[in-house]
Amino acid sequence: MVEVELVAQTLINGLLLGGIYAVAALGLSLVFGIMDIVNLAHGHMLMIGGYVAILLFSALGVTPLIGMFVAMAVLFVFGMALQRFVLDRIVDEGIEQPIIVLFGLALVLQSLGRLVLGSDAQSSEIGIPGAAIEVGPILFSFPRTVTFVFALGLILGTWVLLQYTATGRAIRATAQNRDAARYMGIDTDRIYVLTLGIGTALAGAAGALLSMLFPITPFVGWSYLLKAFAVVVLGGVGSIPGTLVGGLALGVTENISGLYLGGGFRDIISFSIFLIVLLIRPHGLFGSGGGGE
Amino acid sequence: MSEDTNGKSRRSYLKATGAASVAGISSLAGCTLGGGGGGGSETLTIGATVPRSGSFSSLGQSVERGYQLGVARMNEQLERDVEIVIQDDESDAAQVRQSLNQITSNNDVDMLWGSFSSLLVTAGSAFAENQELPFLGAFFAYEEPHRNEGYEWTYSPFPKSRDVARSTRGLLSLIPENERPTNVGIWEPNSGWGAEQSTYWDDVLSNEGYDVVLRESFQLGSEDFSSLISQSKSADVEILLSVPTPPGGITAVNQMQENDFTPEVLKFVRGADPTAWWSALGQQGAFACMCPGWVPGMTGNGNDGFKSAFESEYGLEDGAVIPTAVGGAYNVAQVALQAVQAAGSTDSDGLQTALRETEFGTVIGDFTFEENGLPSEGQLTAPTGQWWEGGQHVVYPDTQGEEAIDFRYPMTPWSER
Amino acid sequence: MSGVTGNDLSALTATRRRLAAAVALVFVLAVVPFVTTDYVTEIVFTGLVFAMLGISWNLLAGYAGQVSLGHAAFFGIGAFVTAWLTTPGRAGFPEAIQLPMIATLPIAALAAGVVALVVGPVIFRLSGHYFAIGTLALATIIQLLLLDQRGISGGSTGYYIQSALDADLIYLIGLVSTVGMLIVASRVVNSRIGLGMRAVDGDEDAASTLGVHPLRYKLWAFGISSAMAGLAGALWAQFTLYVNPESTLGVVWMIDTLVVVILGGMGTMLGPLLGAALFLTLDTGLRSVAGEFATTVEGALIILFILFAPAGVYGLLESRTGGDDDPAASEESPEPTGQAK
Repeated sequence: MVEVELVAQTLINGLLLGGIYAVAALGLSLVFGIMDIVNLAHGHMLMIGGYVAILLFSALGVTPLIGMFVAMAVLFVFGMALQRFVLDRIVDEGIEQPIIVLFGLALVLQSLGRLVLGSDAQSSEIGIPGAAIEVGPILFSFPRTVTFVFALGLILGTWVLLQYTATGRAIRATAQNRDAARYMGIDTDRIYVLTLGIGTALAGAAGALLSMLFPITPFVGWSYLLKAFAVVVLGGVGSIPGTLVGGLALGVTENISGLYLGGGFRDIISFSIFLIVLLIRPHGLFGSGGGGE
Repeated sequence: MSEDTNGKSRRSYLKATGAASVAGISSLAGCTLGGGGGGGSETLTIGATVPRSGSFSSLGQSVERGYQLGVARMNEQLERDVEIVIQDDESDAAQVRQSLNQITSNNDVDMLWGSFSSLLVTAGSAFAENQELPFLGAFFAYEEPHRNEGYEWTYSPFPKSRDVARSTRGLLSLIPENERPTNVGIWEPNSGWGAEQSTYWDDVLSNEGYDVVLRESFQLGSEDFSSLISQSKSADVEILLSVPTPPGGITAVNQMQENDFTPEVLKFVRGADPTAWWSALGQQGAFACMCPGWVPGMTGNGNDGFKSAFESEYGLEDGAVIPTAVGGAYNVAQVALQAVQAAGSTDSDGLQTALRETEFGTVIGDFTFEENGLPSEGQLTAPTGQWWEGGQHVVYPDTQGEEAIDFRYPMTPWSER
Repeated sequence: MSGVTGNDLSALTATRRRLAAAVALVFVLAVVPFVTTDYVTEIVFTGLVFAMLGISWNLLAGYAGQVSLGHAAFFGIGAFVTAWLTTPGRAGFPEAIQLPMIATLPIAALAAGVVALVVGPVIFRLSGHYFAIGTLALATIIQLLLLDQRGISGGSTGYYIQSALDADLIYLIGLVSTVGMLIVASRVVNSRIGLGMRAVDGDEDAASTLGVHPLRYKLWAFGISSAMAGLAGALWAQFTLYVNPESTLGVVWMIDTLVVVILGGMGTMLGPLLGAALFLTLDTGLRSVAGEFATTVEGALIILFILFAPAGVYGLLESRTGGDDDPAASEESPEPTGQAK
């Protein structure tokens, strides 16, 4: 393989990974855009989703592609409960309290993860037979490609949900103007519950997909939170196409910088770009400005 | 400022808080006062931490078992009682120090034993040097601290980076010359030991005529090896060497499989050491080599006794072999035993002299120590083991042990397993 | 979230008896190294460090209303600066810069404060959630940079500090620092600067129309708070004689700080002290009983306290004693207008 091919391979790897980053960020983006809450426990919910898939795989041999749906269901219920019983009480008291509560939740999830599954790294495998696809000198690794396809499917599904279903329209209406939505007869409290449920379910799905590629430890929550937020900031809060582009951009940037600057700089570059975009254009490169600050 | 009627309760709250803290502190102080420091007492008390949790937890149990078996042996051989106090260091260097502080605060400790990996062992030895207690650390291949820290109390009965490089050279020489690969790729983790070991490999193998076609660094704890793998393919790496953490090594093999990259020889020092390697990878983990200090198949110097002790204490299924870390830990106990026997006492200075002057013979070989705690150059056997059918077996040097096997070469591609 | 009550230590010094109790407490803490084991001393010292972290973070978040999640980075900066200045050889720095430990402490604090003032104007372009996550990202970047620069930080192996000083002495310096920090924080909060901070927290727009320049007071809070965190980090480094970019700048310190302040009572002077004592007892006690459950319980407590006792233990104590004789509270004097500049 020549230098050009090496770069091309790195690019492809980055794009494939970026799809999952986009799913990971989508939940965060929706919740922030619609409810104005930054779910600081998002990364840890992703971790929980990963663990659900890993458990199902190691105990029952179920492929994480199916385990993903179970993870989504579990986290959907969890997210709804979180909104209904915890966040609903404090969301109007100022921004400090949700920040701190969610931070505390992240801590709880992290330590529970450690208790239940140990601090060892765990991962799952795709569990279905399949070989890498070679397109010329470029290799599309089978797990990465399949997870990418699933990621796209989830993003598309979310988009369809928001555009074409009654619930989706209600969610968008609430995001635009909560009071007006209420006047139109929309039960905004219920919408919020659903939204957080969807947001956390997407986090769980991303975790299940990621578990096939990378090991999950109880401590991955923070870095995935920052990466997801980086994607949100890059792509624009509340914008689905933006999130997809942001995810792909992050995946590619990580891999290319890892190639040229060495492994240590990979994350530094990602977070620095994130911080810069945050400072210059907080509503993202495609900012739909769905939420305030 | 008038006192209202509730001022009294406020005051009593403050008093209560003060009293509670005094009570709390004095109850904590109920244990023995004064710090550690061996006093040549009757019982030999050893303090140690092992990684029962955290990134090295996959080896924690083996290390602990080795220590326990070793202490049992010491009790048999010595007239005095030997006890060991072990705590979990959670694979965290700061916790090592804190746990050792706790152990030495509450016991009259004569000697400290190390944990697993340079990170944790250097933490333990820093504490031991501070407390002026003899310290034995295995699973510690990093030489630089020995040369630069002015160690007076630290001794490491374990193959060091130079020994590992020597062993790799020997391993490769087992391959007949006409079949021998020449392209060496080194994945260098961004750590002190990573750099040291990679440099030794680079120097020793280049001198021997091999071609180091790739030497790239990566961050310990990173999970994405796809760049390294692409680069290795691009450079046509045939012999892959690295020192990843155990979880990192497993991830790397998984990703090599996904990306269809199979080197002909794979040596993951430290990474391929734990039993978790096989339980996570199964057949994908076969052929991988490691240099963990002791490998099943070593003979002499108490290996038979060690094996039967393990069998009777923990059981060993037919065809199964003892995890390598148990041997490394047992060897530490043997060094301690022989040092105490040579010194005739448990006081620190006597032990220090004994450690410097005695010739030791343990399950990992025969050796003496240099003054800075390094095993004298060229003496240690530094065996290389290979994963085969669920166990680690010594492949270099060629020993007569029944667990020894021939070096399996080249690695079968992932898809064919 | 800063209340008018508990803004200073006058509740504590209100009567001679209380002052005596406070002095007695300090005295009890001071003799800990001499009557207990090294291990107990370490535990109590950790409590002091938690108190310092709590006091400093509370200044920024409780009084100035800026919830930063990057506090651990300044803790770590202070730790590394003191490491570099007492053991320069290991990082390849010239031996000439070596200083006695005592001298390195204020320098470490200053360094942390300066870094805060440098990044402050940039990071304060963000507010609310964005500020929180921005500080988290910033702290992570600093941590990763240190980790990458193995030559000066020791990388993942860490950096050992050579020190000839007794841990007990450092403990006493830590005790003095904690008390000093408390006094300084109290003075700051009740000074003009403090009023400006609290005005910005209350309503930034209203404050600026009154001539209170928000950025200026945020920077004051950020700078002082970070310098204090740096001092705490320096003391921790000198006590444990080891710094490591992963553990010393780890998010665990941020979590501990949060627990200490929330449990104790955000926006009050004594809150962090109560929180530190409570957290220490809880943590040590839980760890010996339930080991890993300790962190789960702590996280759960944060959530429960925010939901049901947002004023922390301090608030609970206050309501139980039924109001208080704090002069600031009983008078409820309105903030002076138009005078804070």
